[in-house]
Amino acid sequence: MTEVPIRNEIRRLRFDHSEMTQAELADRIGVTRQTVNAIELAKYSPSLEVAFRIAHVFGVALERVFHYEPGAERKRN
Amino acid sequence: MFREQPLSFREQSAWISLLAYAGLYGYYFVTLFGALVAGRAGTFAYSQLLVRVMFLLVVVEVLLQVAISLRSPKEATAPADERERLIALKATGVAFHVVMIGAATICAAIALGAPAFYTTNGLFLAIVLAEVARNTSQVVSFRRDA
Repeated sequence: MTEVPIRNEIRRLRFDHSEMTQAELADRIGVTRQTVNAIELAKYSPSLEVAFRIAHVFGVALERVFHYEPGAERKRN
Repeated sequence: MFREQPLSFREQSAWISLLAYAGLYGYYFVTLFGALVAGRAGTFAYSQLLVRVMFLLVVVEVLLQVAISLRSPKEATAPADERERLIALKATGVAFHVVMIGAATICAAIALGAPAFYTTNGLFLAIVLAEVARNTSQVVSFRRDA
């Protein structure tokens, strides 16, 4: 399976927002805490809708949360 | 302090189904195989054992699924999120291939005149293997993302 070439700033943004927990963010965007964790670790690429919801929770533009890095693409098992 | 559960409700559910199916139907097929090896295929009352195993599976599944639902009532009643739906979809695709291979094999066995004992249990084995493959695929996907 190919690892997604999209990096994100969710961990830092959570920290900057009163150390919001993964569970709190998950509640606010309507997914499980494990899904937030998978997104944060770049193991899962969220849908555009969930990506926008995350950006909305932090009050920033989408590109402040996610970055496309073609060079980061690599195989994982 | 509130301690977050490492496994989501749906991963726990997949683990329960996987272990219940593999354990109980594994017992059934091992017992059946033992009867075949001992040359008792014609007299072995497999339908009685199968009914008992199925009943036990329902009891185990209901009890354990209710138990994890009580531990995580919010997650249990919430709809699956997009990642969980994707994992379930992929797992169903894996199970489909397993059941198709099993069905094709049974069709060939019927065409070659295999007795009902073998075709019935062979078809049932294909269904069980498909369910085990489905749950295994889900568990692997959940663990890979953890």
